[in-house]
Amino acid sequence: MTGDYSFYICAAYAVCFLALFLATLFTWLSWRKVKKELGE
Amino acid sequence: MASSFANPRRFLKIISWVQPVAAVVAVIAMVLGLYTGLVTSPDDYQQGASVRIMYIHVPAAWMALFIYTSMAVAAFVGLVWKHLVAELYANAAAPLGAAFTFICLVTGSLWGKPMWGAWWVWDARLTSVLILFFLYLGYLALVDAFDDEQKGINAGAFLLLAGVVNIPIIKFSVDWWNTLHQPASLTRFAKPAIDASMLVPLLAMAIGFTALFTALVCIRLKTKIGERKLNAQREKNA
Repeated sequence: MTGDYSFYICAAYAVCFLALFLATLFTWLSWRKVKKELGE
Repeated sequence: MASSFANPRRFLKIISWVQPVAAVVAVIAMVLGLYTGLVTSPDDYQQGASVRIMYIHVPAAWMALFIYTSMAVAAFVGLVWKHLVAELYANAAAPLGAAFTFICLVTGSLWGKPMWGAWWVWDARLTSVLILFFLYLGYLALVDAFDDEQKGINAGAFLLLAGVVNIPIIKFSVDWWNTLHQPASLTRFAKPAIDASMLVPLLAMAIGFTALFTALVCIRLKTKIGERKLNAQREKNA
């Protein structure tokens, strides 16, 4: 089967890693906030 | 071993080394998975290059199911034995489970459009995974709706246990119904119906996602335990 699937492949990997990046970021930001309050 | 998880201080000591190890394993496994998946693995004879979406879609689906199951087990342990860390685990893991389910749905849609000609079909597996996504969101909304944290945790636990029936439905949907979604290629009791050149990136990404989840849930549990400490301090000072 021939066909250019680059758009679908790039979009899938972009969505995947963006979601994982955001999950990591929000997790880290929540911990940083609590750590700051505990440390005060 | 379970009792060492029950004591928050001992639990925090354990995750203080688990979390960085899991983070390193996640990075190594995902870099390996990306390299083998995008560079060295071959195109599929039917699906062409779009088969590379499998290396993120399938591990995300496995994570979505695994996380929900682990949340349901933790909810049961929390309800029966009042195990503090088990009670906090479900709330800590839920956003991560929702994220993996979202990744599974969106990457599946992006794979389905070129292969099936449709972004979405209401077949058994897709519909049951969408229900799983709603269960994750519903759990988060339900727990948050209560002012009393313990009541929220208990209500959420009952929702998780009721929804766990969806897990075998998702797993066996491709066997029970005449679905568009392909059946399983990897089972415990048979030789994998997938070549090593594709199995390696698939398993590498699965290990990477699992390790990343482990690292993130450790941080979220530390956050939850910290929030409990802060609430206790505030109540003491009030």
